[in-house]
Amino acid sequence: MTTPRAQVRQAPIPRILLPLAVLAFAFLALPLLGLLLTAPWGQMTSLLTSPTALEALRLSIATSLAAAAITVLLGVPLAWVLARRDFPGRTLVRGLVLIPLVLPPVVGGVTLLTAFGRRGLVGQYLYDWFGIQLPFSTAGVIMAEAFVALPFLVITVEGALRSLDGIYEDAARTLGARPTRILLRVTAPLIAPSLIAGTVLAWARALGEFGATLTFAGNFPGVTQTLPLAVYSALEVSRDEAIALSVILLAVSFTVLVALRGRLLGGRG
Amino acid sequence: MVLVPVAAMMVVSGCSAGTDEQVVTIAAASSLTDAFTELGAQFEADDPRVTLRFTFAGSSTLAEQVMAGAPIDVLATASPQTMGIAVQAGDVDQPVVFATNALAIAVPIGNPAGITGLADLAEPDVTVVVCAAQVPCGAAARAALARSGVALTPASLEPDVRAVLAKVVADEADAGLVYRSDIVTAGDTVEGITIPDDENASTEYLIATTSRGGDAAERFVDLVLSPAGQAVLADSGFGAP
Amino acid sequence: MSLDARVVTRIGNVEVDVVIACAPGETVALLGPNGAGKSTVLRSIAGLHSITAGHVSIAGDVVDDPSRDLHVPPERRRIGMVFQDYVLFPHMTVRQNVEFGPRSTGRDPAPAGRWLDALGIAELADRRPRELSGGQAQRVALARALATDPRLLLLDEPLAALDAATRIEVRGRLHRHLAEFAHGTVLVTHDPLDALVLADRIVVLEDGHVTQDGPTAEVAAQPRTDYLAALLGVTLIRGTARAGIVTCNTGGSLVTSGTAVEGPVVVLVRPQAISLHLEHPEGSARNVWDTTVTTVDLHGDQVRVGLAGPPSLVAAVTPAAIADLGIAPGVRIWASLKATDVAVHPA
Repeated sequence: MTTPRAQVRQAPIPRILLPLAVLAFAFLALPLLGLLLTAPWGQMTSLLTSPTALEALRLSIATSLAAAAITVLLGVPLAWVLARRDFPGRTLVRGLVLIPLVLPPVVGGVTLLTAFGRRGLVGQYLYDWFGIQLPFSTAGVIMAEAFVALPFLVITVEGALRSLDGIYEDAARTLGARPTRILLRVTAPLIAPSLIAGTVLAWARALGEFGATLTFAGNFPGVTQTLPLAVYSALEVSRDEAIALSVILLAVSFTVLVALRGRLLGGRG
Repeated sequence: MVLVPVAAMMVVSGCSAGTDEQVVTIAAASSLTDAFTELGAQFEADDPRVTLRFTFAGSSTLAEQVMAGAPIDVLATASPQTMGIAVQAGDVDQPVVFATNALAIAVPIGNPAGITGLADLAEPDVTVVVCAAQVPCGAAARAALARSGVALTPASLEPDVRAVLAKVVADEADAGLVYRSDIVTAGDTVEGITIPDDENASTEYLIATTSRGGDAAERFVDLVLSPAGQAVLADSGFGAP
Repeated sequence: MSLDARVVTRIGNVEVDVVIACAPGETVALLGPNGAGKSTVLRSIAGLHSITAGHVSIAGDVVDDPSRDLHVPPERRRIGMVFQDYVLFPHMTVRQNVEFGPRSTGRDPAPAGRWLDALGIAELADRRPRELSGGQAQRVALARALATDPRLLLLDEPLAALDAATRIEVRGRLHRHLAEFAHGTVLVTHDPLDALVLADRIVVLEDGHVTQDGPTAEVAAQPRTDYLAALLGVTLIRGTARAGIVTCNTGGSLVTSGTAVEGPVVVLVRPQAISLHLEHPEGSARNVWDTTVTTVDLHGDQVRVGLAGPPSLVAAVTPAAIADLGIAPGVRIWASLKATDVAVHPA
């Protein structure tokens, strides 16, 4: 039985918190407000239906979704191993996972080149043997986006797995369940909220990625020019176009985040 | 209490270049990186009271920054059009042409794709990078390609000419359209393929002090225009104005 | 034997070396203070914790033997375990929780329904664990464990999460269910009442080692360590109550003030409540009888005097009283016990 909201007495907020909270909100909201106010609403339709804009939008959505899928595919197993297995060097591995978070994205792009560029550690074999060139390709964009987004997913899922403590898995084992069944029927449903939150975070990060994409994958409309790159290019030609493109980026992100509401924090809206 | 950090930020920014004659900020097209850095060292050696700060990027980006009120004292662009952006906004005083530049093809050491001229760039397997159209070297590249009738689909449109050069040096691209001066300053990290004048496009470099630039800024512009300055530019591969 | 084990392992800096066995139909309580290693022993039997030496054998099958590099994982040991906080799967309904075991081993989940009925929780079948009370959750956990048709039942502090009032009622019910269980049950607890009411045998664990092991009544009447004596402080007798009189299973009867309780009961008597006299005592005590002293033991600053029955009881008196009354084994003595001191619990 739930208590109607009006009847629940909310705990008082310590006096110092409220003005700081308002300041924080203003800090985030004002640039957004500036964007919306300076947007060329009159020309919005023509600007947004230009081939450049549509192409950039299509590419951004396609690559960010693909990158998010990759982070889940690779990130969940990694998070599992980090959370459940104690092995020598675990702290080091955990630290390495965080690197894309602290590395400036452009530097991240450079490091991706050293590994997967035409003369890269792995890239050179891809190029010499198979003629595969990851830089300047859409695949390269997906790689750059996945690179910066992966830590978000791993951290969120690892945290969820750790907090489960293995107790539910123990119970399931005593009931006769094998590891795969436990993973699918017990662990996965229990970490689902965190997994979803982590995936959304990773997707949002991938969508907004600029520096690594520019440095590793390059900038060409239809192939590698995602929305953020299109905004950057537009900035020097037509500020109006840049703002219009930024508004789309904002709209897409906002819609998804609102649709998921409180789920991001594992709550219920 | 919240005002203290805000006030501190204002004080700090107020103490930077602009009001203080001792620091001059120069925004220049990326192709001028080596030449201007050398000239800057000369200037500071002659007048130790002044400190020069350089920022190198695509000309259009820099012009936009000046317009947005960035604390820049001298602007040097790689094309009249990009300087025109700042002129129109009334932010710079009487720009002067101080150098010219023509394009060249940069290829990685060893010329792996066997490029001999502009026509080879259109081959399907060749990875070519050029500057974005709004940057002077991008505009020049388009002009040159149109002039020689080569239809090229580049792999990437870079924000400035040094970014193009970097991709070629790293052997991530088979060729890049850069300035002749870039080939010179890149030395033995890259090989250059000359583009004949009848297929080439050139561009004019302009320099001007901004409305906030002071006496020291004027003196730097004088240095660039002086015989000493022109010699440095010529050594770096630039053409005469 | 449902269980035949010697668990040698380590938890933190406690060395554990415990021999424990359990016959089919028997309930063995592993009783000890917190930190003694009880849960570790249980988890080792379940296979959730590794033993460094010794062996674990369930229903005749050796499932753990480090010397032979043999370790059967928990999912193949055919055990049923109830955890301290029940650990019901929060994302499943009660029915899905109970059916989880059979479904996991590819068996027909229908029999699980029987357990829901048997434990009186059938109407909760579609509820989620968070909607259940403590007592209900405990029953679901038990049903879930029993639904797998285990050969050994392991209970880890099954009543610890309940409040005092619920605990009394649940304890009685649990005793009935355990009595019906054909295989052995090992139950871990720090509460002596659990051991006294639920178990046939008690294994006392202190600091990783067994300090006493025997039938419940014996261990309760003759604690061999200070810890146990202090813990128990009571004598336990089983019987049937009617109209305020308990007829003890082993013979004899006691008058109790708990007239509301009828039927099978467990009677608890504090040794301190029995007074000893040289002559037939006058007074209000409803239980007065003459008997013979069987044992005299000093425990701390009290002396525990065993009295011949039936029912056989233990009195606690001061050393001075022993001297005054000349109490020694074989001496005839009068004992009195107030009806209000005869605590009766439904069994």
